[in-house]
Amino acid sequence: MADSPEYGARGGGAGASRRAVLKLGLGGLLVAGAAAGGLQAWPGASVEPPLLLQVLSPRTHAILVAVAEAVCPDGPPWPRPSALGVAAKVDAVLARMDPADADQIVVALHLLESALAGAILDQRVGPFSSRPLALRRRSLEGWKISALPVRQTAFKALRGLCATAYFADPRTFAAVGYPGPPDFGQASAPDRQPAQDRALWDPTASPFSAPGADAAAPPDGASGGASAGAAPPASPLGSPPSSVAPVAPVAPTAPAQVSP
Amino acid sequence: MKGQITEGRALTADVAERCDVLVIGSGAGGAVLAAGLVEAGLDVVMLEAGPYQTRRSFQGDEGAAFVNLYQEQGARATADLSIAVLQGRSVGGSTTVNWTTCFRTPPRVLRHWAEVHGIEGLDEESLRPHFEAIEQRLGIATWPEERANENNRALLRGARALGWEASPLRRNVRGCANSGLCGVGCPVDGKQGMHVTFLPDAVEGGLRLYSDVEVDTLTMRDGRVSGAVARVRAPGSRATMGRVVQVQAKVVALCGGAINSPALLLRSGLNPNGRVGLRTFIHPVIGVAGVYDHLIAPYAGAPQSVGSHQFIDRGADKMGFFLEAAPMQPMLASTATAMIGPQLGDFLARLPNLSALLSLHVDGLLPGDEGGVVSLKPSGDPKLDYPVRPALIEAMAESHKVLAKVHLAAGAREVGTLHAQPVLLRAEADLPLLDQAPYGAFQHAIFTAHQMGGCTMGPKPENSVVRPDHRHHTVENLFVVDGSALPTALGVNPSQTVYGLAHRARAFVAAAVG
Ligand SMILES: Cc1cc2nc3c(=O)[nH]c(=O)nc-3n(C[C@H](O)[C@H](O)[C@H](O)COP(=O)(O)OP(=O)(O)OC[C@H]3O[C@@H](n4cnc5c(N)ncnc54)[C@H](O)[C@@H]3O)c2cc1C
Repeated sequence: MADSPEYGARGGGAGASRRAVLKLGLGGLLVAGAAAGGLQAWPGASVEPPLLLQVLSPRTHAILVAVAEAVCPDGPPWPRPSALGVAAKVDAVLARMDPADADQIVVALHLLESALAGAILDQRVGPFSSRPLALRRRSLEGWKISALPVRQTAFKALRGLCATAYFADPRTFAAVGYPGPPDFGQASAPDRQPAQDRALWDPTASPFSAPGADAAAPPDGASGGASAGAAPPASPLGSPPSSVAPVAPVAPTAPAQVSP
Repeated sequence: MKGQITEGRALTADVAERCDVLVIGSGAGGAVLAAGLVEAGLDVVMLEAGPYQTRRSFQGDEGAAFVNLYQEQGARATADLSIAVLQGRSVGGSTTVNWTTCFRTPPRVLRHWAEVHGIEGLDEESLRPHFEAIEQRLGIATWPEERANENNRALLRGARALGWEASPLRRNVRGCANSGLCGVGCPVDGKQGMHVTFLPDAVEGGLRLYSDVEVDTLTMRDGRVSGAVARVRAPGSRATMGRVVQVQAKVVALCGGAINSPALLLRSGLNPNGRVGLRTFIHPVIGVAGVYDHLIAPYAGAPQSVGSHQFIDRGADKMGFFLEAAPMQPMLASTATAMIGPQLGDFLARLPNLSALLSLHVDGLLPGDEGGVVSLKPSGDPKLDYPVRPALIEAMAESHKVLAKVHLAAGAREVGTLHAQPVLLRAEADLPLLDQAPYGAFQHAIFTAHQMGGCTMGPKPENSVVRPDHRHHTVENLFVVDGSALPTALGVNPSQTVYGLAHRARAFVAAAVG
């Protein structure tokens, strides 16, 4: 209609020019940090950026790799986030977002990395990505409970993007003790199937949740390493570490009854 | 004549369509409405922003499902990111990914609508035939207690041990295999979502449905809506494919769901009374986790099959809440907490023994509870601001305690909240720890899977967007038939209310074609 506003960005792409409204309100801080030379330190990236980044630059990719390492668990049985390409997956997510929102994430990465902003707001010096893992985690924990809404929001966004990319990857399933989704052979089934009575899927019969089961590699061939029969970690729900005894292994019951 | 489903990527040229009724959105409201209009012999075109997917692509892969089947790849949230917004975006809308709990609209809520919002003609009796028709088509029936998964059993056992009401829920399934995959697309078509029921019915009767086609704006002529302009999107993306679909229609039914429907009206400049986007309700949800000695497998089995309405009515000045369970595949579980690093790993490694119980808070019923506001981002996409008000904070503090008690009574060895710094409890004696914990935005996880309002119905244009028959107050041939028309939240899961109201709205929309 004649008096409707124009939304050029809905055509895709053009929205990248609309950087004025920064949802996180991070813009001023970023500019301040950059102008003072705070962004000049090149992070000590040990992970090669993939060739086809869409939103991230090699530099912001490196910062994100450092964030992902801090967000995701590390050490056996957990695969390293960089082995799963978490930062590249996040890049793909950003590419499908409202460009202005994706900009916000990039801004958040710069802000986190920025040594000057870090010094002012965090009493810490040195770019985020070159801090040791434990310090990176401490910085993030600080942002999580920061009195600055900007930091809480940035923490939430970065944590969420990294954690979802990591735990959606089947190569983490073994460590979680998740058997993976049951396969009903639907990929080769007709598009539609009339309703029928079915036996119920029994998750206890799956390899990962049955004690003594092989710590079989997930379908994509990655090495997992944990069977859920192993004693779970002592702190089930977070800090402080609890003294609860390990969860007793679960006895396997009937074999899978999946019969689509 | 049989209709068809055309995927956006199959369009090699712009499309111009003409029809009696254009239905925008293929979810709970749009599908039920379209099937009725087609049955009445009308020529109907439907545009759906999301992709057309079937059981063949429902592989239980959370990552793929969120990209393809959810708004904003599953990352939709309030503007400050304090509340995560789960909402569907594919053929079938949210019904393709919802957790199948079905309730008729509670009579007390219908009475509230009549008394407080002046809405006439919506009562238990007049809605009954519509609900019966829906229940029959969708196979809605109680999921027997003995089939409940361990996660839901924890709720049942705990609540009953405390002497609280809890009962099995009704679900829209036929031949459910207990895969636990409702939220990522049912692999066996057991869930009777719109994509396997009313939409195929409507296509059989002549509906022309375009997927990956998102309406940008409505077009207007002489104070009436003349149709809409839409763009073809790349599946799972905002990227456009260059093609435009233009539809001319005698009547337009907006069924994009809460948040999206108001946004489309705003983009179209259709907000004569300034009410569009106001009173958006979300049943804000908090969760409390319990670790059990036995296998819970919260990722397996019907996700929601037990509920408790013990705390739905907490008196005139307090916000009520109801309790249900949540399915937990690893990715969704990871979003429920604010943990990082080893803590996060430990939490996820407990998943098999973890029960996740929810409290859903009923917004919009207390005087002065205006919920959230939908406006537009510079890109034209919707933005939701939702202030967490004192009444909600009070209710969330209470519901945390209630859920902790349920877990402990059900035999949990440890209970943990989803606070930024989790509160851990092992016994009733630890409950006072919850009194010291903070509640509100950013203090703990909050999310929503129930979006309502924003184009609220009511008799007066001063405080509503559409009339009680879903007709726009000023644009005579425009209807809003989806969750956005609800004047308040419901205190029960909303899908059946949307189905029922859409079933009722069929006659009004058909009559408007003339
Ligand atoms: C994970 C999850 C679990 C849920 N569990 C339950 C449950 O157990 N029980 C229950 O009762 N409810 C549940 N719900 C909620 C319920 O499914 C919704 O309330 C209901 O489907 C709303 O119906 P609707 O017609 O308003 O919108 P939707 O069903 O969401 O459909 C709207 C459709 O319109 C499309 N659309 C929007 N804008 C445009 C546009 N501009 N152009 C073209 N298309 C557009 C959207 O892509 C979407 O597909 C759940 C929801 C989710 C997300």
